[in-house]
Amino acid sequence: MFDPEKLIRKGRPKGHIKEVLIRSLLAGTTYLIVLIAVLLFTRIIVDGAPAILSPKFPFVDLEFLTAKNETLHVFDDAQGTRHQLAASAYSRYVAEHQGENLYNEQTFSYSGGGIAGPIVGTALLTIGSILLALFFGVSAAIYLAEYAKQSPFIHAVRLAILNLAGIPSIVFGLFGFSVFVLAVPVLTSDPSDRSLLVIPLMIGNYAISFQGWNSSLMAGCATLACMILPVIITASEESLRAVPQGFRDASLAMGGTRWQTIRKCVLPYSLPGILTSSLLAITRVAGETAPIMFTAAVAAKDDLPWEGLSNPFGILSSQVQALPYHIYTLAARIPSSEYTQRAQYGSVLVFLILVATLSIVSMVLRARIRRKLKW
Amino acid sequence: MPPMNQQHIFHELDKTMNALKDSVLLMASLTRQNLERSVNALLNRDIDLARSVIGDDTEVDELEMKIDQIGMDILLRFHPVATDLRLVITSMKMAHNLERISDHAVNIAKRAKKICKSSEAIETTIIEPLYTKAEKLLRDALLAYTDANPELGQGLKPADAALDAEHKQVIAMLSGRLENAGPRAENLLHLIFVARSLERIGDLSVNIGEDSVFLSEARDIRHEHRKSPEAGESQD
Amino acid sequence: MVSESTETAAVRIENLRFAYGEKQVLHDVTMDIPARQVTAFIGPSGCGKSTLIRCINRINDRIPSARVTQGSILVHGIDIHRPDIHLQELRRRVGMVFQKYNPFAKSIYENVVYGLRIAGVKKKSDLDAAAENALRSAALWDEVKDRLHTSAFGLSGGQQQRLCIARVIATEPDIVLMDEPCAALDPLATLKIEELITSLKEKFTIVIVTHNMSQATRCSDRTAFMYLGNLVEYGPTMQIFEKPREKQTEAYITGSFG
Repeated sequence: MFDPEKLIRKGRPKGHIKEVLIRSLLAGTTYLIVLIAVLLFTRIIVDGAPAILSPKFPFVDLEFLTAKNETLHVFDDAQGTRHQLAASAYSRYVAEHQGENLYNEQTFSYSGGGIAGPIVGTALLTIGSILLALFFGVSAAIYLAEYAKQSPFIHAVRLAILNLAGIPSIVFGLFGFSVFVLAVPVLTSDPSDRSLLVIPLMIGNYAISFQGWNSSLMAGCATLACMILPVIITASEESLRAVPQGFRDASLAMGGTRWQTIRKCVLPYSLPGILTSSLLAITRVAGETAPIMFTAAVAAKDDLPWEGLSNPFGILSSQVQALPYHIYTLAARIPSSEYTQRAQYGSVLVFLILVATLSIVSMVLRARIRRKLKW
Repeated sequence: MPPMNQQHIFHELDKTMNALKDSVLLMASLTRQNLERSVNALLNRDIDLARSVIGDDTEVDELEMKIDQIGMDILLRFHPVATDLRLVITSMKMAHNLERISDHAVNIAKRAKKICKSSEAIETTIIEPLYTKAEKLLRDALLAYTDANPELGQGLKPADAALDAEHKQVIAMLSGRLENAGPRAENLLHLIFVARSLERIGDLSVNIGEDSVFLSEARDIRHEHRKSPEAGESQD
Repeated sequence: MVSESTETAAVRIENLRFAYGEKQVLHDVTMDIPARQVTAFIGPSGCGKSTLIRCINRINDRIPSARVTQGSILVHGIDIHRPDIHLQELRRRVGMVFQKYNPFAKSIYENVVYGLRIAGVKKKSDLDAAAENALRSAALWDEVKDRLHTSAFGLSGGQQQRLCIARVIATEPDIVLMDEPCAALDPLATLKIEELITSLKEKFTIVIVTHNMSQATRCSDRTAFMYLGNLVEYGPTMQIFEKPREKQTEAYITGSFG
């Protein structure tokens, strides 16, 4: 017979201190991480704001964001005023003030003008590689989740895909270089000498030549896509598996084929999950430097990717500038000074904003689809 | 109509319940008719009428079996509860009571035949007041059932008591005459049995009344003869 | 246990043996399921009744280790395991309603016309007419006709199951298999579905698996009692429940199972 008096607690229950301690510990860890993140972002914003904000309307230094990257010339003129001019403005100044002497001339590569080139380049690389990775990754995920019979072989395949995630990015860069830049087939009428294999076609004098795409947007996107494939495949497979079996059963029981079932009853409902994975992938891809160093990026480029092209597809085969590469160039490859630092922090902040924008777009898209599907 | 004519979601149940109710009503009207005709045959010395009553009893017997069958069917298939369950059970009891009333009517008809066949005249009208009372009891009991009138159903006892008293009187009178009856003794005996049948019909009608109270109010008022026979308040 | 043959057998099962991998789950089942009647399968858990009806539309094919080891199933005379069987057509003719109602995450309208769409019907007027027909037959039309294009998940559990039934009958199958259709529903919703089943049997052959014996007594014309993969007894429902021939059947239906 139990004693109802025991239901009344006398003082604190046993183990209460332990509960409180553990709770505080866990909360403390969480907030510490939040603190670190806040500090990081604050530093970036504080350092980068002077570069992109300006005192007059519209309070953003549009020139920084939209002008091409040029060498910065710093000099004093006869009156002792210090000028900082981008290369094109410098040439104009010199032309206007011919005969005047310029004193204490210094040049700083990559520090003048704006960062329109890198911004555009990063955006193109990110979007291109995401599209490629989504196409191949989702296809693989559908095969693994819906079609493949569970066997040791398939387990090995999954393991291999997971291991891709652990490969260092520089290795991807080298892989991309040796495969996409130097070895993938190209349809051309003028095969280069270093081609690995030339298969002549019967039409005109076109041939398929295994000579690679050279350092180009295409090669860069392909390399980056390989890098984020494991993330996309595993996340997509998870979200496909999360769709309730009942949907498939019902569709099959009504005479649907496998593909009809997947296309109409499974895939639409796994879209939010797939978009989540692409969210993670965007942030990863936008910030990678090593894979694009050999495959797409170039430090200095006069034209934006769509300028100066002979045909519209030329955009794919042109090299691009990229923000992370630009930051690396500013930080590591040229001597540091107050001018380069300004450009550097400004680039970092802009990079952050760019990635945030892409992420927000993806989140909005995901929310929209979720609302439409409502499950 | 028996009370609570509710529509069930399951139409099969409705259909079968209606079949049950209809069978009970049919049986009730047949039984009343048989009683009326048998007594008429007796009073009017109509031997053909007596014969047809005896023949019509088979229909009543078949209805009793049919009602029991439908009742079993409903219990088996639908597991009814509450009102539905009480309706099924009282229907089966009604069928039993009605069948016995009809058997008594057949007895009366058989006695009537024998009296008709004999040459000795006899005042059969002596049992008429008994018949009037018994017939009214039966009619009220059936009305209590079809109209869902529990007050009527539980108020039958006084009338039955009156019928019993009348019955005693008639028996006494008939028995008194037996002694000096001579060749009319047989017919007098037949009349005594007819009186008994009519008294039993009264008792069975009270049973029907009690069943109607059970159906309407889920109250079992049987065997309350220790209490006051006045109709009215229950002790529940 | 030999069945009683009827004039029009919609499904004929002959000496069927079925196994999941090494485990034998159905032993020599032979029976005829008559057309346009409701046939119920009762029996304790694990007796094989669900497995049996899932063989009829071959939805067991989805499970890798499942296979028919012997015997055959004939639907309207055609052996459904013949190599040139049109599996999609079979599944259109033999529809299935599942235990846990599973409408798609689409609108009510899209759910009902799904079967027609994947069969290639495109004309909107055809789809509309079929949808209305099916919803009326499923006793759902009046409740949803004003919100056909809202999500199916806005309906109650019983309504969702009726929607699944409408979805199946929209393609006008011959046979409708129901695997414990009322298991996830409250008693009122259950009654509505049983009423629906009784009205549907005029057009379709219905095979229903149930663990609820009063459901079998209420709706079915014939009942099959299965135990441990064997068909113990099969006959008219009233006969099975009033005077079963086998002791095992009597023990099960009176709840005296040891």
